[in-house]
Amino acid sequence: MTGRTVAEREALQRTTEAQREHERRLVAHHYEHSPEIFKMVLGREVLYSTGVFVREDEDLDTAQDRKLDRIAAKLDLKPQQRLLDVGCGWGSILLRAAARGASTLGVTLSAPQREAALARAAERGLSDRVRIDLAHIDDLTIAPESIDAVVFSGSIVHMHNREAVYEKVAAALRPGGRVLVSDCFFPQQARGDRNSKATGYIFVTALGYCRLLSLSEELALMERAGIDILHVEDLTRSYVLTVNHWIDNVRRHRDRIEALAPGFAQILQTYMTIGRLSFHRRTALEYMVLGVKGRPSLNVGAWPIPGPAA
Amino acid sequence: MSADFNVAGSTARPATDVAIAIREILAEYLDRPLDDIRFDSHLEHDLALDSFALIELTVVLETRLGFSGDVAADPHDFTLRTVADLVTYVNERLATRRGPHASQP
Repeated sequence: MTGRTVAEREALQRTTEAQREHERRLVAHHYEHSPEIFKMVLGREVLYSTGVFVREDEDLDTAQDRKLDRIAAKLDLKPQQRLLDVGCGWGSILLRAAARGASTLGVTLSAPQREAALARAAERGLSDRVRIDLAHIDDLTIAPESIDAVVFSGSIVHMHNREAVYEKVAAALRPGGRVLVSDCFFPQQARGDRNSKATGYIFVTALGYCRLLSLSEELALMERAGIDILHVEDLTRSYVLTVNHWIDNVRRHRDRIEALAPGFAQILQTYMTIGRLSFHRRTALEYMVLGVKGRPSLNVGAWPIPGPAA
Repeated sequence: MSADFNVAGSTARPATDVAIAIREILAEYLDRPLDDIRFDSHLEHDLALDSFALIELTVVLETRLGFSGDVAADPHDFTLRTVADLVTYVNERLATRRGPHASQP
């Protein structure tokens, strides 16, 4: 697979180990900023990914609550089942699952994120069901067929070596285990300039390292790892609306963000404005993908579709 | 909800001061002498501001001048062609700051 950006082509020249260290250093930096900043910008659940908007005028917390519910429904975890959240952020997906009895493990490259997520777990009395490792997914050794669900919410674009990621996921999942990926993709047929200054600003300046595939490329990697695709939904419009709220929040809290991290509010607003435009024009897309290893317990055919199709 | 998105630059300033401030910020951003930045300077043709630069610049202007841009708008829909257009836009946004917060579609 050829690289679409300069950063990607550089990544292709590196060894796996060198790329992992590159990701560990550069990606972590953005997410190591004060959790207080992200609480102000991202809403109550501090989710750094798209919400799910059913109506355009909903507020951010409503959309993020619905997103958490939707992920929980798709992961379909029963009590005592095990969840792995790769790039777990400030922990909301872990907490939601742990509250329903799942045993959860999160990994993140950011120590401040880990600390904040563990503190939230402790506040809710969930410490015995929430473990978080400061690690890159490449570092993880997981017992074969020991995990019931793996989630990547707004994280997989930071992982260049995607094939290895899905192989590891497939080996770790029990038969019937689910994998959920919610993230950004390029359209297969290029729209806009993917190697532009604007793209570089988001992928490198703001976020350290990002690699976007097309949805069909991503699905192919999942399928090649033995994962069946159960469900895909396009959340691009929801991401536009989500980022609108984030930009508003950066504006609202600009002075406080500036005090905590000089210059960061400007980086946030700039990269979010560029990103928002990409989703608005659909030169970048947002999908939530659900896959299963082996026989699914979910009947996605029964999920309601409006009108007579239900 | 507060109508003021920014504490910085919250005292009202005359439109002419804003115009001068915009020219100065542009000159600094482009690393060009102030005289190069005229009100009739075309943003794209004279000042070589592409769409990325325009986004970066409007964020700098918001930060320094304390207004909020229209989040939902597509910059390509803007009829911002010249420095004068930019000044008009910023003054309009500064004026709306004083009204109740309108939720963006």
